[in-house]
Amino acid sequence: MPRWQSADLAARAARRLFRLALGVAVLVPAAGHGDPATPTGGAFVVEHAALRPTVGAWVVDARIDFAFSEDNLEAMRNGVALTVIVDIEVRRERGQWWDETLATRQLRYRIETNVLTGRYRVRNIGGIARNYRSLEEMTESLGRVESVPVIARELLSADARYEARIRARLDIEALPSPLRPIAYLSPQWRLNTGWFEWQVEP
Amino acid sequence: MAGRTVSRLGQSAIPIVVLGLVLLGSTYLMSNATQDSASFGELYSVLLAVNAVALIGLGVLIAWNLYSLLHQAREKRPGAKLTVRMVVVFVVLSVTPVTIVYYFSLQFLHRGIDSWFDVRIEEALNDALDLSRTALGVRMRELLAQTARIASDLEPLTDEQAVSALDDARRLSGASEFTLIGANGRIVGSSNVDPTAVVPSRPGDSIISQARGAGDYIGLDDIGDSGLHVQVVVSVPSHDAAGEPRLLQALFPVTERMDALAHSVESASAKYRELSYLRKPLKLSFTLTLSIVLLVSLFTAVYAAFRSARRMVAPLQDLSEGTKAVAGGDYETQLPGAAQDEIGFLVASFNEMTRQLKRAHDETRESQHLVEAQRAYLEAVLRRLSTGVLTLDGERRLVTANRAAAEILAVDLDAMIGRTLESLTDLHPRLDPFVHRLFERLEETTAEGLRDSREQVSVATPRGRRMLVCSAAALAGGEGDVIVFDDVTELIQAQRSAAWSEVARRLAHEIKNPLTPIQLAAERLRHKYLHKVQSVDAAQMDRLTRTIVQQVESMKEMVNAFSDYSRTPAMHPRSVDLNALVLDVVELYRTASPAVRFETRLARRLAPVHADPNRLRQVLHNLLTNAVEACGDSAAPRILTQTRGGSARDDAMVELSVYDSGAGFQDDHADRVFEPYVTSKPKGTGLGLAIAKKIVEEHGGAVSGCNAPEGGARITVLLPAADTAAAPAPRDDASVLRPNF
Repeated sequence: MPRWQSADLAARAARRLFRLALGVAVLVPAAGHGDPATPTGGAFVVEHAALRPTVGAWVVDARIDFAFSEDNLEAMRNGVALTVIVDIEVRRERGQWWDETLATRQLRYRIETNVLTGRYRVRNIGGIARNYRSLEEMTESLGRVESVPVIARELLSADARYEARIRARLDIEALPSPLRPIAYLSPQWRLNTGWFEWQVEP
Repeated sequence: MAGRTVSRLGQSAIPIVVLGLVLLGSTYLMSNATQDSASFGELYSVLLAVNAVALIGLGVLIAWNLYSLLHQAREKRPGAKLTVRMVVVFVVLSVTPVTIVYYFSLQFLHRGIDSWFDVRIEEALNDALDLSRTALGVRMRELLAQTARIASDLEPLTDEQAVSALDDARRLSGASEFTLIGANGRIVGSSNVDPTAVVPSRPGDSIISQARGAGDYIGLDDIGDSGLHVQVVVSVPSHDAAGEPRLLQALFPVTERMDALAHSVESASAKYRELSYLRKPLKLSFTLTLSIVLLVSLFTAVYAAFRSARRMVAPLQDLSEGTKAVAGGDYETQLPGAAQDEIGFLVASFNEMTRQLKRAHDETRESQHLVEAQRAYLEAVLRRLSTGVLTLDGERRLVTANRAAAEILAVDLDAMIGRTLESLTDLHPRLDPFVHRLFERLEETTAEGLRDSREQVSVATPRGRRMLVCSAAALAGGEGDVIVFDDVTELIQAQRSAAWSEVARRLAHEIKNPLTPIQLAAERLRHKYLHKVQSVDAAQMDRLTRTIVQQVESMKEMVNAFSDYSRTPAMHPRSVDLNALVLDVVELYRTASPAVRFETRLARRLAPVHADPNRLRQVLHNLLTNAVEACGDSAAPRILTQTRGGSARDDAMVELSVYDSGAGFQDDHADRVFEPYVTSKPKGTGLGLAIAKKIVEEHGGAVSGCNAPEGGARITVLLPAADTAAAPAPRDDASVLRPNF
């Protein structure tokens, strides 16, 4: 298992535990502060996604609308780097059994701002960075997932049924630690598309 | 169940210490993580969650303890109040200082964080940024003008010419890259300082549209890893006016020194902004961490307060419960050992006390058992005794009475326990002389200080008058008396009969021998000398000799009677119908004594008796003769003969009673009429009833006499029924009358 995956699992478990604990303790009355429906609330939405065969592999094309909340933008303007994670999975449907996960792919983007140049800089896992002059340009580029190889072509057979799914979320664990408790409790920070699933028939 | 597990876990201090250490460690790590240290930053959320869960766990534990403690206090369990008081004291002692420290810590924390930020620093950083921008701006304007000049130089050239001119232009201008962009954003050609760079960097669509529409674009940008560049995009008017204008993008690197400075200013400013922005969340998270640390330590302290209060009170509680148990009679109580302190000493003393109490109690119980065993033994002996034993307390109330006493007196003495003997005489007046005599005896023995005295007392019972040998004595200790009595009636009667039998035998023997010579001599005298004497003398002689002969004859009869009494001829017993025998004999008397009215009242289905019919007939003769003689003087003489199956006391006996209408027995005669020569009649030998008694007793029966309530005497004979008397019991066997004892 790749290292980042286990880290993600741990983070997920921690998040659940934390939410449970704080939800019971009601220590900070920050919950219910924002409403996802308002324009300042922000929301991540998967508009469409598809799995497409190419010469060597199955690749994913998707369109994700990243609408950051007012709090996110303010933090970004103040030099806080945000991390967006896109998870892609291909699973085989097995009737009564649990679906078998055949492949997972995670795309991780770190968004920073440069005060001097006023640019948004997006850096992916590989460390390759791109600059954008505006937020719209950055989110538009970020939301365009194109030809991301997920699984080798021969691994999907024609007689089975498959399910692919994709989701995008803001990684709260990558935030500076003082921000994390607030982020866990505030809907403005809990941005997640949820799984967008679709059937694949090779 | 859960509570028991919790309390069992709570018994050992080790889990508490471990838990405390774990919590301390996690709070320490969390406080480190709050400061965003690299090592713990990742774990911050986990630690926060762990501590929050621990907090909830501790809270539940405390709530449970509090609930159980209050419950115990409400139930007024021993030690609960003391525990409550100690817990309150501990909690107040620990909570107060911690709360004060917490309050001031929060104040310092907030002020400390605020003091990091300074308006002047912020301004300085902003100014530095502005300065950087201004410095770069001058350079950028120069570069824009330079690029515009190059663009105008390129204007008349075709695409191919322009591309070939790009290299020279770039070299001359000092740019790192020149790119010519045609219509539709297509790259026409480019020149790069790095010959290996294959793909030229393409300006974004927005830049292109801006350059085409509004005018030239100039901006700063990080290009890949090669540092800060000035990006200039200018339009190159097309050589044919109809076509879309071409664009020239030039990238100029800033000087290395400037790049470094700009980076430094930028990153410092960004960091400061971030910190400034995070000030509020930081305060919140510090407050949160501090609060959790405080609550964890507080809860631990409160829990420890519960535990230590319990531990301190537990021995006292044990002592209290132990004392209660001992008061309730449980002397086996042993308390668990306590620490080597004053309370431990108290517990040890308590245990020693209960041990000694138990020993004493065991000894008492043992001796009690012994006493009870002796008492049971004594009771068994008394029960089997044929002697009646009564014990009285100081108030002359009956304390104990054995079965023989009840049998002899024919009274249910068990019902009389706890009542005085006077009340006994109230119920049974016949016992009055006996009780009276007893009391006299007791008074005498008390007065004279005699330890023991014996006396014969006569008691009337339904079985006739009985002779008792009584002895009364004060009990040891003076609290009450003991009365012992034996029924000696049969013994006395047996002795008397034996004596009379012997007397009769001797009399018969001694008297009978000289009688015959006397009679013969008188007859001879008469025969030889009567005719020889004068007529007057002859008459006298005749009268005298006849008298001698007659009197001798009568004496012979008497001697024969005595002889009969002492003789015990062989018995030939068989089954006899008593009713038939009675009718037979009574009929004889009815004709012989017409003046007397004879009545019979015979039982219908009377069991046959086992007897010698001839001797039984003699018994009837003797009883009836006695009755006829007894009612000789009365105005309307009347004799009733009655038979009954089974007496009140014994089913296996047949009862025969003869009532007469005579004067009855004199009081002191009733129990002696069956002795030889006891008679109230002017005539008779006085042997009739004695013989009857002898015969009845030979048959295993019994005779008693008493005055009938309606007047006259009544003599009752009890004879064994045939089926039970196959083997007649010996006559001196008392079990016929007292079969149970």
